[in-house]
Amino acid sequence: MTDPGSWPDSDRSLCDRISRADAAALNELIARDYAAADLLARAAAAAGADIGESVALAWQQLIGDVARHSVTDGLRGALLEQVIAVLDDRELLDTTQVAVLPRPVFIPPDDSWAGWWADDPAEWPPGSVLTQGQILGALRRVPVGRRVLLVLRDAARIPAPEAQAVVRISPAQQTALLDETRQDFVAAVDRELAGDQVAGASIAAAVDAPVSTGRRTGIQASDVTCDVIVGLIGRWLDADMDESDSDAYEQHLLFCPPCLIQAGKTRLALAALGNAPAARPGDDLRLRLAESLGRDLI
Amino acid sequence: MTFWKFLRGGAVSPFAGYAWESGKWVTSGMPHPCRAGVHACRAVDLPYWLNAELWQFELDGPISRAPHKVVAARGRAVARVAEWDPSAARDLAVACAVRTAGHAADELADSHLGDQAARLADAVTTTPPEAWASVAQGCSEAASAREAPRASRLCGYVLDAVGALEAYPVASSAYIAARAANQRSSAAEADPYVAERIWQANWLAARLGLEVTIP
Repeated sequence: MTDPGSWPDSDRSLCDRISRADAAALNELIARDYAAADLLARAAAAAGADIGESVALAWQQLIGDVARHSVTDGLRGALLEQVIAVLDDRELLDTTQVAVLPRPVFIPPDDSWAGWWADDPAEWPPGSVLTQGQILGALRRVPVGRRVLLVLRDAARIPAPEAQAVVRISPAQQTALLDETRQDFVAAVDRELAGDQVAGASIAAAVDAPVSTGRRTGIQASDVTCDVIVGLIGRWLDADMDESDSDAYEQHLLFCPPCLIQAGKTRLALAALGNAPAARPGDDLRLRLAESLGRDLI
Repeated sequence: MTFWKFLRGGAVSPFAGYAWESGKWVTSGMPHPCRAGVHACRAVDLPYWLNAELWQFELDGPISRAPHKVVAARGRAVARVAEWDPSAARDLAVACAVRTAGHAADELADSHLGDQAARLADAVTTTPPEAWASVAQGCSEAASAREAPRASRLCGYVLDAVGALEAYPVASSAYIAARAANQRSSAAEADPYVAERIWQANWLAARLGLEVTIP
């Protein structure tokens, strides 16, 4: 849990107002955070699960916690934690094993271009715009634990310390795992755009321990290889690199068209994920939440 | 002091995607290399950022100087450098391939493969680039047979440099030459990679008529 003193002011104000039965504050919170909860539920639940009821129950739990003044983290993070908890309680979390997604293949050692692309990544058609179906389809090709992390961090924009409450992974480990998961998501979008059917059960890649959690690589453009660059794409997009690494990274993109393609695909995929359209809340949600507060907000 | 900035076609920043309008001042808050501010470069930095268009830039306010770039809070694109066009880019790419072959020939000579070094140097001076590949391939095999792996590898870079002429942007050719320089077994310069980049900066300054002195 984060120190309540570090809450965003907007969340602190919303909490205060909602606990005083302020209908406008409740509506504001629903408008702000419903989409993230809906997307997370769609991504994490088993196919055909009752998403709407689970999301409503998660909202009810959250508003109950707000009324009891027991929310001590950001409201969105607390809501998403409830979404996963409700799906888990109702045994609706997706447990389907997914096929292993292809990772980029790089030239092996003992070659003058070791670490560079063995097979260049395919480009997406110019002007590609991902539909909600393709975004969800791609998400569901990623192992569920990683899928949840991706939605929390890149769609809902939950800070790593708050995401830790949901995925039980330290912020440092999240960084490295997120790098891999973003590339998995790009590979999954590749398959969606190619129209591939979701493959049957194979090996479920668990949320495994990351290889490295280093923040600075000390790379130099003179010797940095594509395998390093691909691992840094997410951090570059997050502006989470120091000046030296960023310099080397950007120089590499200019002289390495395959890495430029991969970086562009990652940027597009994450932008689409962050802007994924979501279902609107049902008319009865506000009434149910008002009941949770024990007051009439009409 | 004059600064420059390489942009994508249409005067678009290569990473931020910002479309510059000639003459219009742009303010970008507190400058911070790689994160915020107007990024540009000095003449010596140009080879690191090669792209489709080259623009002369004016910067205003405190200028932060990084190893390969400068950053300021305000800047404007003054004028496009017309001399940097596809023809100039092609010529630089070929010049870089020649330099790559030169590094390979020097390494062959240092590896007591004088005949191969002469063959490669002769091919570069008397035949078009597409003919260099087969010569470089033969030299690479000869070096490998004589257990001169570094010379063999540098000949491989010649193959890459020739291939890059048609398949990759000029930035790739410039990088291959700098990488080849950096892999010579003996070099006069303390940092052969940087020295090769400086050679490229001088080539650009001369070809584009930039009134600068490359340090």
